[in-house]
Amino acid sequence: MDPLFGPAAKVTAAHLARDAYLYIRQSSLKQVLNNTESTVRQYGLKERAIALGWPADRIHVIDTDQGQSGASAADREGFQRLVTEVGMGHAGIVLGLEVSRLARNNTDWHRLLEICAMAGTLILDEDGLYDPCDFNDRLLLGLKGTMSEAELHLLKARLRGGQLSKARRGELISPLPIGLVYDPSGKVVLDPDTAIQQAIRAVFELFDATGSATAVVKSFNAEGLRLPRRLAHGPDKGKVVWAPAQHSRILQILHNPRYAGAFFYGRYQHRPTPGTGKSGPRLQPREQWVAFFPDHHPGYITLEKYDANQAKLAANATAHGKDRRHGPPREGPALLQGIVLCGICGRRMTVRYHQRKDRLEPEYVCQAKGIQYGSPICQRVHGAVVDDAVGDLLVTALTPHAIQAALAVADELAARAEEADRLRAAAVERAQYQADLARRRYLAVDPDNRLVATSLEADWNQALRDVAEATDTYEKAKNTATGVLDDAQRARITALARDFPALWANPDTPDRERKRLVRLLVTDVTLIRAEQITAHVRLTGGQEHTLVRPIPLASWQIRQTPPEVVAAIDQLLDDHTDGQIAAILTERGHVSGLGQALSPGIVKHIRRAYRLRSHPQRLADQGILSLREIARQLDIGLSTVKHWRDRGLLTGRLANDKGEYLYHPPPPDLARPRIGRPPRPRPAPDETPIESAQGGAV
Amino acid sequence: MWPLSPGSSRSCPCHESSTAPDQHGQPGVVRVTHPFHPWHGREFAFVDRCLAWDVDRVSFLDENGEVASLPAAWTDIDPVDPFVVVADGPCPFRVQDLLAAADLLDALRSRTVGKKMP
Repeated sequence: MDPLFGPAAKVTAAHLARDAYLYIRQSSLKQVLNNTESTVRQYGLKERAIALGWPADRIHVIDTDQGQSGASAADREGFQRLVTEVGMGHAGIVLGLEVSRLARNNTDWHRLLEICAMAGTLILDEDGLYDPCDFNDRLLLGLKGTMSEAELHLLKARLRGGQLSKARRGELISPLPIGLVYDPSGKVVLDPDTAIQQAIRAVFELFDATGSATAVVKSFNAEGLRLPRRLAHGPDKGKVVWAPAQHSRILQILHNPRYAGAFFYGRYQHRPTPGTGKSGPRLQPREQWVAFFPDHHPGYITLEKYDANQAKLAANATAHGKDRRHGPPREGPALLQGIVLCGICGRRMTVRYHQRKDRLEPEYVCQAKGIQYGSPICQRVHGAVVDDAVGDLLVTALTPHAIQAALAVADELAARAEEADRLRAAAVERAQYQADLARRRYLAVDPDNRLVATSLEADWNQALRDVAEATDTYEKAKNTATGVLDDAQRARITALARDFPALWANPDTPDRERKRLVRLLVTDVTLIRAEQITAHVRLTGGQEHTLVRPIPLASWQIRQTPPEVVAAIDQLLDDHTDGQIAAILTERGHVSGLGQALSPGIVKHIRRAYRLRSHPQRLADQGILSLREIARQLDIGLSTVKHWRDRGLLTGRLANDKGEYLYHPPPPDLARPRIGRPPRPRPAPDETPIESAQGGAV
Repeated sequence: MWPLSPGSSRSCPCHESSTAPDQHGQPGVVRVTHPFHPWHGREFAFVDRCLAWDVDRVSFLDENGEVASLPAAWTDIDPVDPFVVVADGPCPFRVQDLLAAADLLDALRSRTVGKKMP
């Protein structure tokens, strides 16, 4: 073909000065694995670019979108990269086997066309070469794009039309949940295995009795029951295994309308999420399902019971909150949210907050197993202790020395990359030399000697394949190599040793930013609570640290009277009343567990709480008598005892803060004074003694 | 195996045709490498690898024959980060993480300055 009038005429020196980009895509992984011819054809386009004048080392192959549909550009990193390269003027030509490879969406396609036109980039497919600046080419490309989108619609309609049609009639064969099977005639029936039937019925009966999915899990596991499950993947696909009931499995059974004898289709629909553009499943209201046939087959419960169960589950879910997903760092003060693991069971721990006066106190809880199996939670760890320890560790670890070590490692990696690059380049040179040698041998052979020529041609082809492989390896490795840090980057990293501690100590630093920093520097933290709290911290550079902290005191322990105060009270009770003890300890500077000044009432409370014998009891232990005892022993009245004490005939010790006394036993030679009238003769011993001042003040 | 570019983040599609057994030296076996996980050092029969809630997870059969899963980063299914291999202990942080931390600090500082400006 004459290059002046053929497709090559559109290629100018300006195009050749820029790079060529070959975009390769197939819609699904099955196509990638099975339809390999298409892939080969797509890679073969590289030869077209070489024929048009681009050197092989400046043809970039973008094949990161293998297995991705072309319906949207949202999930296609390769296409986005292609658009970026074209927009930045790096691309002289874009190659794709068909327009449909580049985009099956008119919006994406026309955007690419517009950018190609602005950047002066050519487009090449299997049919020809197009210049988007040229009206005729642009018209043709636009038509191809429209047909490509229409083709996708037709493909979908053709592939899914039958499926939807069957679903709308309720005849679509779809995977059944455990407990239901297809009979030989294709009808849905209950599983003939009675053990499976009983297990499924038990789930619904227990839910009726308890009203909660968690309670069903607990009941199942408490009674040692197991739940059947049909494996959907792996080598044993289709096999029924019995396992302990899990919360998620119970919810799946309770939510599935199949167990109510209903056929449904389209309960979830995949729609793009606003913002990200990525699609995800969304539960639709029943009116919007594609198909719903009640009484389609035998079920375990009625549809009315199913609806009642759904209402009950919705109410429970509201109570427990729906926001159980692990998310990005948020405003809460728990520093290790999302990166803390349970050292006992290995699951991720979640965060609970407790309101303490004017602040939130975090707590790390391992409850995943508890939720799944209805068992008690694994462990809970006081959050502030661990957070402080990890924060201190980061401040301690981020030293100038550590930063220099990191920079040294980066330099070594870069040096090794250069060395490896040299080795890979040498491999390409060797392969090229072998290819040249094979070519010369082939050209030197006599054409009549066909056997030799064929053999040498095969050698030459093999050598060319080796060159292509070595070049490909070289390019890929070059792209992944770590770049060398420039001075500005080094300065910024070095400044971290100064800036990071200051920022960490600043109380105005938001918790969200602290958490982001922690996630950058800490891989994860594994917690174990035993007699002490042990935190195993893995830093991103591979270092591991083990921090041990005491378990913080409970609120009652914080308010507990210091042991030395209790000991002092115990000692002082031998000789002092509660009031005297309070005065003595206050003078010594002691206070209560709450920090209050010690009062007689507090001393009395502590004495009773610690079961200390009171001062009167201790005096009684020493043989000192009470007022009534000494009055009875001396055969005198209570007031007379007091009178004798005042006169010094009897001695005693102060027993309490009311001024009551206990008395030393009277000496045997006590001289009884005569007071007032001489005492009358005492009544006979068999008569009931009458005590004076019964119940009166002492 | 289909061709994937080295920088592709989509190296773990959630499909039965997992690349794991091929990449792994001993097909069908996955070992837990997280040093503080209770299952550290134990080996399990590989089942599947897929994304669950944006986390790259490896499924395997535990000793009871039940399917369990762990994050792929806690197993030996992927090679260790070259930086960690070269650092081999004395270096607590990676350079790219320090750079990201410096970016974060700069952003935070500029936000704080912006607030203080009238």
